[in-house]
Amino acid sequence: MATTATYQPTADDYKINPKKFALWAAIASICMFFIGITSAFIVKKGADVANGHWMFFKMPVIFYFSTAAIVLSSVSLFFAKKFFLKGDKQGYQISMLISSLLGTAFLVMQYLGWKALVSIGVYLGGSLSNPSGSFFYIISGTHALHILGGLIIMYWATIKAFVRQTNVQSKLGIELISTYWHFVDFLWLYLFAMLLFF
Amino acid sequence: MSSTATHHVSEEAIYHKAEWHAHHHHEHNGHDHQDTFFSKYIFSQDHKMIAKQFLVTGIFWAIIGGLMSALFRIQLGYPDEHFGFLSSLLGHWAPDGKIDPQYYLALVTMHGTIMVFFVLTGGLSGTFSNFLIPLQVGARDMASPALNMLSYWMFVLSSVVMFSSYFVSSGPASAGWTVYPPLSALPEAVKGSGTGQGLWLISIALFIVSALLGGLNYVATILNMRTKGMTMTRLPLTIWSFLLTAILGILSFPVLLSCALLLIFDRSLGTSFYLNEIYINGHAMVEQTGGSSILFQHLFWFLGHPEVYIVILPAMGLVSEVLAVSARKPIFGYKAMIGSMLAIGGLSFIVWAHHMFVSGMNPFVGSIFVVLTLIIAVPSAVKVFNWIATIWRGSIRFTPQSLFAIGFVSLFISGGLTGLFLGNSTVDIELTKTYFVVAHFHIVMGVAAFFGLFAGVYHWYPKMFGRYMNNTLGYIHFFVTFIGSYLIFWPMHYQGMAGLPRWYYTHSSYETFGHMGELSKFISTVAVIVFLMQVFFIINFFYSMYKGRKVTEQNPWEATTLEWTTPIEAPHGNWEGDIPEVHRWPYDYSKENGEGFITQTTPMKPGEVQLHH
Ligand code: HEM
Ligand SMILES: [Cu+2]
Repeated sequence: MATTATYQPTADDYKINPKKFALWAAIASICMFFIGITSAFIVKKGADVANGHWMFFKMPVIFYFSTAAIVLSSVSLFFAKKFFLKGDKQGYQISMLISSLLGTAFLVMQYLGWKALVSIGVYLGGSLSNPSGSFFYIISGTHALHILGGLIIMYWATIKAFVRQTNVQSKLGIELISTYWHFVDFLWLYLFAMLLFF
Repeated sequence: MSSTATHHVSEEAIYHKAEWHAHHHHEHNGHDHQDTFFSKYIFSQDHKMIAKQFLVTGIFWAIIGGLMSALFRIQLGYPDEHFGFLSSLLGHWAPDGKIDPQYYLALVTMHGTIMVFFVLTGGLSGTFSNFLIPLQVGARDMASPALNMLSYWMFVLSSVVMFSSYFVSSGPASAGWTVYPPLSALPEAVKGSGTGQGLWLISIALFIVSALLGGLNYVATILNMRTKGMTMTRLPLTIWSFLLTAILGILSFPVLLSCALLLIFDRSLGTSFYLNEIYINGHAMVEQTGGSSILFQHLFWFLGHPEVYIVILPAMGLVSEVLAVSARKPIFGYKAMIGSMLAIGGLSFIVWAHHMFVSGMNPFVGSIFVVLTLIIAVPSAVKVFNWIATIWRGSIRFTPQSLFAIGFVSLFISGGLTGLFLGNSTVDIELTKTYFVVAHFHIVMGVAAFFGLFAGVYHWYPKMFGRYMNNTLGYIHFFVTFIGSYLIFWPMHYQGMAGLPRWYYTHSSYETFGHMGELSKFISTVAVIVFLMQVFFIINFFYSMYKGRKVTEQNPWEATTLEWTTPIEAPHGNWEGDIPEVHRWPYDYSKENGEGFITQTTPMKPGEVQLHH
């Protein structure tokens, strides 16, 4: 048997790092989840508006601020990556910290937004609820879970950025984090537009 | 570059891709760390061990799922009799030897769920994707062995949750494997829709996480970690089938998750996505209004249909490989095989509403789904033609695995043909609630996928355990199962055409179906026998692990693919030295003198022509 081949694969054999690739596939998967939910939302709304069941309400204004926060956190993460690649340690640390804080602000504001919804009588469930409100909570809520996951990793990376002595570290980490974070940011913009306009 | 030279790269220095790989090899060559019992058998990150874990877990579930079906077939075949052993087995769910009607529904539901998800998805895809992907593409392990391990443990967790639902006082989920609301949402409708259904939903959510983690790994590994020379058109068809299965899973399982999530909310938080003004016994059951149960069906079948291909595609891949090896002939139409799998995979996303012809959908919409559905028959027929052409005039070695592979083709034809009946909405509207559908999907999916699984196990057992299974037991197992399956499911077509409804606890109380009692009894008897005869497989499987004939040749089936270039007991990391390079496609059988075979690692001779281009 020919087991005596002499080749050892190296990085050049792979067009894209498997972990990055797996992240992209995961993103496709998350997209399908939200496509599923938002298409249910569109179909249901279409039917309910037609038969007068749909409850319309005004989106609390705090959601506009949270949207701004998540966009800004993406911007600062964009710079964080730049600083990282340039080897600017301090810039990297600061911008990571800002991104994490903005991400946290986003979650806090989402929470305040849900409270504002309750105060205007829009509920997740129960006899007073309407699918329009339930969809709002579930779409923004499941999105918030995806933010939470990213945020945990972001804090971990931020702490590492401060604690770590050396400048040399994996470029892969920051690449994975920024891909994911920009994705959940765009995802929110899509969901926000969906909830606002459709 | 030898991987041993770079063993001690510190994590700090991992900056370039190249070093990532060096690091990776360091983890997986397996020479420099000691295996404890736990790291070797329990929390193993070796894809081969994870595959065996999936297989054994799958076998466990197959026994449970099979037992369920034997029990409810006893009810269907002998509706008027009392069996003491049922009481001892099921306790208060079978008072005086007869299964409680509500528990009958629970048995059917759990049987379907277990078989579709835990056995034919987790057990089949989990086992063979894990086992064969790194071995056949030439990789030391999966892209992320840790996630891979996590995927298995999520599967276990999901299994534990599902299993625990047998022991709650209101019984396991009872609304069918498709868990349509409102039935699945209201404990007042059926007892199983209480805690049991809650556990079902949690379990399936965990299962989806497991399937996604596994699928991401499979895709990443296949696309990125192939050894040198292993182009996409040199991949064995097994790998192509696992790739497409994983992609289907990644794209369709999240939709099931969203579907289940909304159901969870409806059940526990009083939302009304699916529920609308329901009355049971004259009482309004829920204050929720404005929901739509059809919405559920759309979301469910958007996964549900791809899911049936998630089940069958790996079986198709395994069968293609086993047929070529056994017939000593190149697979017929290699590229057509790939193309047809791509077509099936793509089409499977746009035919879901053929499960909903009676949901009140616009007949015009229905007719679009009829056309799309019937188109699937084309790539399916291409595959069948190619399998037959592959074994046609081959010098077939009739091993148990080749018999199971041939049996698969037979079943796939029989069951596929009835799909054409059901694909026509006008016919389907008559047949949809009957045993005709039961016959269709058991033959084309249930039994066929099991046959693919068996073919795979008999074929790769020597690679998994370094020993052979016993052939005689294998032959008995095959013939009993093959003949038995046809005897069980063939008559169901007639029952269905005569209108016998599915999901019913008993048919004997209806005048119309009285004359079918004998046939049902026959089916039930054969079903119980076939279930019991699986003991031939179980014994063979576990006994051969310790006492089977030892494998002494590296390549016992004279196959061409890479897994047979590893040592008989392959270490973690698979190849002791470097990973071999690939020079040709995997189906060079009978190329030169009508008999031989040329392994993928054999360089092309000057002037040699590739067969499949
Ligand atoms: C030519 C190919 C096929 C066609 C045209 C076809 C068509 C259909 C149709 C129209 C139904 C709906 C029946 C009803 O509920 O009224 C159905 C049910 C089903 N089919 Fe097929 N089918 C085909 C192949 C397959 C394959 C390959 C599988 C699995 C590997 C499969 C698995 C199923 C299952 C599981 C159900 C029943 C689901 C349930 O209601 O519980 N089919 N098929
Ligand atoms: Cu289907």
